[in-house]
Amino acid sequence: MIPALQRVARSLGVLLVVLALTYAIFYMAPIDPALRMCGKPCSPTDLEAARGFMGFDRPWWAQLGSFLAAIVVGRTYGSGDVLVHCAAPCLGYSFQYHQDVTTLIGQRFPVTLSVAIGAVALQSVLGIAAGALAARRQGGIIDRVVAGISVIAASAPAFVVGLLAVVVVALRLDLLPSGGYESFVDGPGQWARHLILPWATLAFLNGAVYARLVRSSMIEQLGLDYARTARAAGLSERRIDRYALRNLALPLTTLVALDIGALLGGTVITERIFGLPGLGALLLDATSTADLPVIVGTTFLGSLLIVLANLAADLARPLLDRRLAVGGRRPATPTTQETSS
Amino acid sequence: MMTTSDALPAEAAASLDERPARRSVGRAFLRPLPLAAAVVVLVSVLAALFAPQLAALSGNDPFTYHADALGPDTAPAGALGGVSGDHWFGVEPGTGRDLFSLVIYGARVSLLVGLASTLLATVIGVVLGIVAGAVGGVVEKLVDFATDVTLGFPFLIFAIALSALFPLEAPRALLLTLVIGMFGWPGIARVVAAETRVIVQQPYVVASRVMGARFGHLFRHQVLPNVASTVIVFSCISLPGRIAAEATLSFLGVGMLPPTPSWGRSIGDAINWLLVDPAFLLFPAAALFLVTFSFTILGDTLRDALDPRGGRP
Repeated sequence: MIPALQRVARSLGVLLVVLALTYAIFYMAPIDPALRMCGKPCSPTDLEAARGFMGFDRPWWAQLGSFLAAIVVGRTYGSGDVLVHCAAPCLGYSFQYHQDVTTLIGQRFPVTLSVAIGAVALQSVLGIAAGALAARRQGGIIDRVVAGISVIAASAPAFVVGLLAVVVVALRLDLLPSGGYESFVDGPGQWARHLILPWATLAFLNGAVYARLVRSSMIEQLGLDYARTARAAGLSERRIDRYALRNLALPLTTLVALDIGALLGGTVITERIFGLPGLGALLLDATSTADLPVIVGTTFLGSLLIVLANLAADLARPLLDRRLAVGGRRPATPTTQETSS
Repeated sequence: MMTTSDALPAEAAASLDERPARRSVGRAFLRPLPLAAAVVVLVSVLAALFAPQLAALSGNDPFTYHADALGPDTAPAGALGGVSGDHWFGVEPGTGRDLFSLVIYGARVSLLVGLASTLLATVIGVVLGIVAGAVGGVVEKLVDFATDVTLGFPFLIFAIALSALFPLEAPRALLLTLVIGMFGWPGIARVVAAETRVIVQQPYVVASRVMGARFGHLFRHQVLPNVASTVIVFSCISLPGRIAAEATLSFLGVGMLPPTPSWGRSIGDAINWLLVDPAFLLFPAAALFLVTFSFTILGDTLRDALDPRGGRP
């Protein structure tokens, strides 16, 4: 119980430091969001008024404090008779969209979530299946094909694969739409049709990591004493495979957690390729218009996802391996590589 | 019959045993795929170094607009994006800049940012890793926390966001190197710290500490040589990812700015021309893929040769 609490506290600490650094960097930066709001011509008094209205006239740590407080209790911008209210959980207010950032993110989130859920499901199923098959017939044709594909997938930049898929499948063969988003509520069929290419692209790239991990861990497991004993006792190979796969639950959970944490980053690329109006598109628009509240809000959300996913994986560890729950050590914990792109 | 190793004392025979292992590192690269990868890397490095000469060889440069090579819809005239004797890879749609020169010059940015950011990440990671592993205590906890914080940043999102802050005239290649390098060190720091922790408990290190060796001596002569092969493998494996990171940011329009040639940006520009001129996507994408793929192959080969257990870094 106490280690779990420590772990939660640590995650909160990381999140706070990330947020504070983001805040310090962006609000000490030489761009002034008040300039855009102030309009033209902009007199110094108007500029000061705009700054005061947006809350940019205070030191950055004071701004950070009100940002944090706003997440819990909401916030009201402005003074006197012109008031803009931002209800909790308030992640800031975009004066360019004239909407609070929470609403903006909420509008875009379904798109990103749709891409992410399908991709994670597809990549884990395909990757685990491919890895298990390759391990079963080590050195065989399937093994070599999987190895070849995973080297290509590990080194090919996501946008190259995605664009190739668009050119071949959507534009040449005309099988699927090349982009755009249909809401799930309007029609699950159209929704899925528009998302098949993004899902496949992400699954191809990330699935290779699963395949590699499953293959090497399976080979290791199948060589262990329990697998040999099971085989000697006459258990079917299918059954032994099941035992081996169950022992992969821990490293796979870590991998899925890392993937979910990194998904927001990964979908930025897919959204750009396939023209999906998700969070990535929101961020890119905000970047080109220097919409600081949106930028900080999205960064905060991305960091929150990473920290939560890692926390969940860490807390789930003792549940997946009872040896860890009683303070024992696992023989060899497979490490997962950090992914930078 | 006596073999050479029989005639040598035990220690010498042991060191002789080690030598073939060293040679096998070289031999590992003599198989077809690593060899082809090495050739691709060599070609790309030469292209980056001699970009002006190579472009001049084809009679072009990456900055001149060739309106005559474009059709009425500003798409390149002719097949395959306007491939011809004048323009070996065709021309860029919209502007008519020579695509061969753009691809050749693009190697400069990719390799420069990729190598420099890897170097930066490696230096930060090795220094922090060794300090954390050797000193331990509060310092180790601090480095550990810094690692967690760095990994807690959503890299791509933060890099995109940062680009909003850069003034247009800022040196983009340097900024990209800094951003990619500053976020790349946690992995290597963790590995190095773990190895250092083991090394500093070895009797010879303890002995030299007892005899009064300073931290600098420990760092340079005892820990660094022992983590060197891990560090080299790790940086080789992470290099293609960093090249891809630069390309990704340029692709998203927040990396290299026009008119500097960059593969990622050309590919990003190609999105608008996919229907009319898919060849514009083909050449920069092929160059980028070949280079990242080749570096991956070389890194994997090096890892397998240096670490027969096949452990991941």
